Amino acid sequence: MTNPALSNNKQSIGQRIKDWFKWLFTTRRGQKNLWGIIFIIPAMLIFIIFTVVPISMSFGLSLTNMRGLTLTNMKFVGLKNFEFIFKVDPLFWKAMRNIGLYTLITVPLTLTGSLLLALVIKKPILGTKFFRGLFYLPGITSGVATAMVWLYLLNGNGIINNGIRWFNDIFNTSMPLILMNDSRTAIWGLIFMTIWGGLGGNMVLFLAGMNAIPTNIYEAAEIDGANRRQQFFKITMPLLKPSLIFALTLSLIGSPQMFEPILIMDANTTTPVYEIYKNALKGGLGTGLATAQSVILFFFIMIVTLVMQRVNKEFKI
Amino acid sequence: MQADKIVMSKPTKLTFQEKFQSKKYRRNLVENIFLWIIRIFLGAVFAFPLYWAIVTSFKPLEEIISPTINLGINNPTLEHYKYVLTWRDYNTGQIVIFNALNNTLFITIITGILNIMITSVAGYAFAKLKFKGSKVIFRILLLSMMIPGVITMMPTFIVISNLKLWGNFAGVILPGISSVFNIFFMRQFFITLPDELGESAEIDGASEFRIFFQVYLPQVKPALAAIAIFNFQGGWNNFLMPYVVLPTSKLVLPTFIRSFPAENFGQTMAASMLSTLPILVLFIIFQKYFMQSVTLTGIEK
Repeated sequence: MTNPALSNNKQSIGQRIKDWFKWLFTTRRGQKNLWGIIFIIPAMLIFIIFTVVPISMSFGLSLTNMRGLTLTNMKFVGLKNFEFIFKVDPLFWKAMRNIGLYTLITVPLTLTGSLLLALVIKKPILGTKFFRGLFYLPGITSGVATAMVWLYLLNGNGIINNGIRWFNDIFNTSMPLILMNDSRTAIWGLIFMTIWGGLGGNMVLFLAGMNAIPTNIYEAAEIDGANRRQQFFKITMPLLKPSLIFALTLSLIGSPQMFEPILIMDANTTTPVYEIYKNALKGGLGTGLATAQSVILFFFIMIVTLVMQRVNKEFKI
Repeated sequence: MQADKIVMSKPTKLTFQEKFQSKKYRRNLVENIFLWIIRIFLGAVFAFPLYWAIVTSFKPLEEIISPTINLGINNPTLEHYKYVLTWRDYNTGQIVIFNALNNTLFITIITGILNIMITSVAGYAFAKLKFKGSKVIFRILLLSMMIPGVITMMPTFIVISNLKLWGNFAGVILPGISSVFNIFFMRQFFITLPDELGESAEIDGASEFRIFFQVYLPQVKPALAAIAIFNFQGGWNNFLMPYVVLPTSKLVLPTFIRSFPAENFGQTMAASMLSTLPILVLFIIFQKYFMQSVTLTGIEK
């Protein structure tokens, strides 16, 4: 109180805030600022509550022995969860192997498949709209409906396994049946379902990319005597690169996080996120350990994302 | 390619025989027939699961579990549909599917509308209002898009539970009413519009909110349509949040499908078909906009 410097300082802060408010409410520029802040408040609130807080929670809780969803009754255990995962936890690494296989097969097959599909559907002839809609159909049906249909297609007496039996009888082979309750083949059922469901969306994306390429480039190439194959590899592919990289990046981020179909079909296989789900919500090894697992998966996916950004500098968010 | 088109575009003057003389026309015809054959084959592969689901939903149980392959139906029946449409909740006596439909519509519409409002307003602020700190905040939002969802999934449930929203529709709705991607998407659209639009309205004395609502918002209708479709699809098909957060007395359509015992495939398929029907009808009517929403959100990056 007696210190003039201190009170002066206080006053100046108060004055500054006052001035700022005056500027906000009276000047044109200030009003723009005010409205800008008002306009982003709801979005920022949701962003903080459902993104910033959860991310910090994940890292914080991975160092505790938390169980369930209540924040009381937990102890700081340091890096014990990570130690457990790296030294003991066999299920998590089995899940990682499963998802590695799943990603390595579904991502390239879905992308090349949808590229070919886009080539097949590109030419606007009679029925193009109908077939385009048909190919995209899996993209609009719900994950649950899709999963239940595939569960039925893949049951022991289902049409796919009957087909495999029939094939084995005739050609005297011993292809295994694909059953969702068989831990060795369930992941293959998920792989087929994912490819079937993912082709359409990427097809639409590539189609738009192809249609954006000016036709006069192709005309010029044709005059120079380039055949269809040369046109595809020398014109279409390079100009489609941004779409391809975009789709590849999204698939490489999305596919390691697959787990909903397992939950819906009650499939006898596991993926890292399914382990996380079980540990946190189904009374498995606890929420603390689950968040530690999600931190590990997070770093794996971040590495992939960063590598993808390096690979293509044009693609930058 | 262009040469093909020219041949295609003036056939009215020529008879088929005359056109057939041209080598280009014959090549084009062969190519089209070839494309048709591939398309029909692939179409059959794509449509088969859907066809099989429809057929199964009309099959009596003996035919469903029979190990012989029958692509048609011997004795079509409506019993599964009848069961699904009349199944009543034991406690409340309400018909479960209509309850689930109500809940789904409620959640989807509220989430969708709030999401459009919040994200378009925020996208506009980042594009046009350029307030102090907007660049930094926007960069942080962009960075957050790179973060894989797995890291936020479990803590989101902890947040919902600690906000005492567990078991409420609000617990399912709140996390969906804003999304960074939609904000980014809307900003990209607003940023292409010239600043002069707002400036002239400003001279006429319009408030910032009116400038946004009456000058800029009508200019981005394609973006709004794309987001509306995305939100609707996302809400209608959302399984995980309702499954985890809501009790079995508050089913939505996806969790309703899942609530039949796995071996009752007829009922499950009938429920799947009924809950897919509305979005299928919308898709057939608005196919163009559905495709547009995929390409717009994809290309924008």
